[in-house]
Amino acid sequence: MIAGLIETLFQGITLGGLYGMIGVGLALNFGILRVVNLAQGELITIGAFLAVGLVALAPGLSFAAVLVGAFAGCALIGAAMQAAAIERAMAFRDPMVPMLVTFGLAVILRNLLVETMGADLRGLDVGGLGQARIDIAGLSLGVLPLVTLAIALAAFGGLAALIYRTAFGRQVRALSDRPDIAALMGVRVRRVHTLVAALSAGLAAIAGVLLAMRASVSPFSGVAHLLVAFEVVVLGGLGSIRGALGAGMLLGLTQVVSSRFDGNAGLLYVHLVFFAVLVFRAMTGRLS
Amino acid sequence: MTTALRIDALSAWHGAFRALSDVSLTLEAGRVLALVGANGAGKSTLLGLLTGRVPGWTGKVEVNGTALPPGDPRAASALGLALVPEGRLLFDSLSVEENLLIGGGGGRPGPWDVASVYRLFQILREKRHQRPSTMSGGQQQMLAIGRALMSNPSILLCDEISLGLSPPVVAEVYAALAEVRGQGTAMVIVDQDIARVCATADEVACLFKGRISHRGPARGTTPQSIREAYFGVAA
Repeated sequence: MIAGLIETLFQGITLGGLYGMIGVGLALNFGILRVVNLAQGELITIGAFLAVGLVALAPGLSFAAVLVGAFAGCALIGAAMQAAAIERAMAFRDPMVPMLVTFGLAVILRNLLVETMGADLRGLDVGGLGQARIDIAGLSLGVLPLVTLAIALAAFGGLAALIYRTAFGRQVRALSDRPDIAALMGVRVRRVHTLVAALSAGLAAIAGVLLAMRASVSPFSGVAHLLVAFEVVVLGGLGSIRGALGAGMLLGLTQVVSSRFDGNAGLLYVHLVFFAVLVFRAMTGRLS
Repeated sequence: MTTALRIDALSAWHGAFRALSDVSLTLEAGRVLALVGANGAGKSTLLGLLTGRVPGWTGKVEVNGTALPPGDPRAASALGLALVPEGRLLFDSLSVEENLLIGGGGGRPGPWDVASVYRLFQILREKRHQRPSTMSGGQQQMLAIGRALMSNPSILLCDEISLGLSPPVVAEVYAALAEVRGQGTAMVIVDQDIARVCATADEVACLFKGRISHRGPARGTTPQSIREAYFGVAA
């Protein structure tokens, strides 16, 4: 009974780490660039397909190399989108303009994916890892969820260290606070924007790889990912890294626990919890 | 004596509104200029264009003999201009020390680093791990000055330096500026407290509706003489 409960919690935390990863790129992009990137879901999908493609091309590649490759590929796409299109749209005062640009980019990316990869579902073959279990302190835990959780936590830890402990992170936070004053301090505004967009896209790729290891993705999965990402960002606080992890955990735990009682619920209770938190915040006047 | 700042036939626009008309000014190295004038006279516009934040201007601006390109804050910083902005505009996502570090990002050599700013404002060392918003207004102003000094400017621009500060704090801030000046840094100080700023400055320039209406030594300048300059009434 206790063991079952702990295992449920473990699964919830694992899924939560994944949800946090899905949301954190969006949170970062919004927090620093003030751009709601509607292409984030597509970037997650592209990350997954890049990993699938890398494994197909070079079956002997280590998992770490696949992860790095997907990260780098998506980061390049993210940087290119920022430099070529989104940065220009940001010159308009209306935040709607860059958001619409990312919507257009999302449509383009989605159709490019269908064109090149077909509409089939793909997954990352993890071999026996999917069924492998390991005993820790009398508990039998899945290796794949452990790996997922470890990668998600490492990514969060690395991101927090980058943003809060390095000179680059200092520039990023200063730019987020007051772009004009930061520029006066010698911060290269466009360069930092492009790097942040690359980082967000790279985080999306990690989320995509983790997703592809546990389930299949199709070129049309992006919208579903974006919905989860939005819930994570809104619950966790716009631009908050720690908040994204916490919100991901809440939603992941909700999904796993609710599936124990109602196997067909899917994301229903996740959305309900999201809704309930929003209603609670509205009633207590802490909506923004 | 070398010229730190030379402004020639400068006009600036905010859209269709002409904020500055044919302004010419020079500031020798290490000298302090008090820039006074009513709200809307163009003081903040002048500081804004010197720091690349107001792009729409014509005329010529030279900093230590090099032409200043319009609308380029990084170039302004690299040429040796640093701003203590009105309202301080600190980075509240950064600690006090990080605010200083980011101020020194331009990499100009000079006497100012974190240690020397802490010597000037010892309270900042005590609060170095705090967020700026947890400090008093005076401490925030000291941080804003320290952040600007970190770039080792040849000209320090101070906008509304004593706004919202209590008299003892204003005295402390001016005492610090006197020390900064001792390092050979030229300054342009905008302040509503004309008597106070003129007691520190070498020269005074008065802006009236975007034009320089009065220019002279700061010594002996009183609110009364400025008022006469504003309204064009002979003393």
